Amino acid sequence: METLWKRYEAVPENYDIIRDDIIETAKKVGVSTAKLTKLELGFEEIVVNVISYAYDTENRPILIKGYLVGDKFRIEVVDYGRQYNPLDAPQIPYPPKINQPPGGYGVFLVKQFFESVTYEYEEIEGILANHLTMELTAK
Amino acid sequence: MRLFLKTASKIMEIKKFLNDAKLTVKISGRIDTNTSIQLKKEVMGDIEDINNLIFDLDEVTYISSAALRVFLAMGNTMQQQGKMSIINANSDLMDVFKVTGFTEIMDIHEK
Repeated sequence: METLWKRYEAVPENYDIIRDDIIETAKKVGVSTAKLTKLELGFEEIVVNVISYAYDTENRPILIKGYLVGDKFRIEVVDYGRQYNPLDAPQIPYPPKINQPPGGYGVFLVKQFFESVTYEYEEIEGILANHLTMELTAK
Repeated sequence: MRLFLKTASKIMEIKKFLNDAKLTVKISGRIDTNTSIQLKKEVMGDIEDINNLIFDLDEVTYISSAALRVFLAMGNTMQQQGKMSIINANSDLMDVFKVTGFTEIMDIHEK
């Protein structure tokens, strides 16, 4: 069942709190231990991106909710920073080259470990926002 | 082989063992966005005269893409001066190494 947004300040010192909250929510609704690591990995990439790059202002909200939809655990992440679709990041080569630039693995892992990832730039609570929705099977 | 450095934070611990030109870096805990910075700093400064670098992940429970970036940077450096291995990776870590293709280009061993 869909829940209310949890609102945090998108600063590095809040990351552990944000992560622990979503992991706790996932555990409560029955996400399996095997899926928790994948969930955490994808979630870290997205949230750290918001913390690192979304804002150059002092007001840095990040809104998050996690809930079950059928057999899927859905996570939604919203920020009001500069418009950015992380899914547009360039594809990294497979297999990688040892001397390639080391970036690009964050979004790659999100796409690998979540079964569905969608991005919209839309109004959330009356303000235009980056809105990312990720789903993975809970069991 | 001797232990010459041990650093620890709440979520990651690094022990480095040096044996001639072989450096074994034994890591415990989580290699995430925050701790990967520490890992890179702790290892990068010590590999100038190393021709065999081993990361022992036996007690590592989690790696993020930040860890992959560190391993890629280290692998690039070590390609020019010797070899690098990653050993004792658990099945969750192996999933990450496999889907990213790291197992195709690096010497990685499952626990």
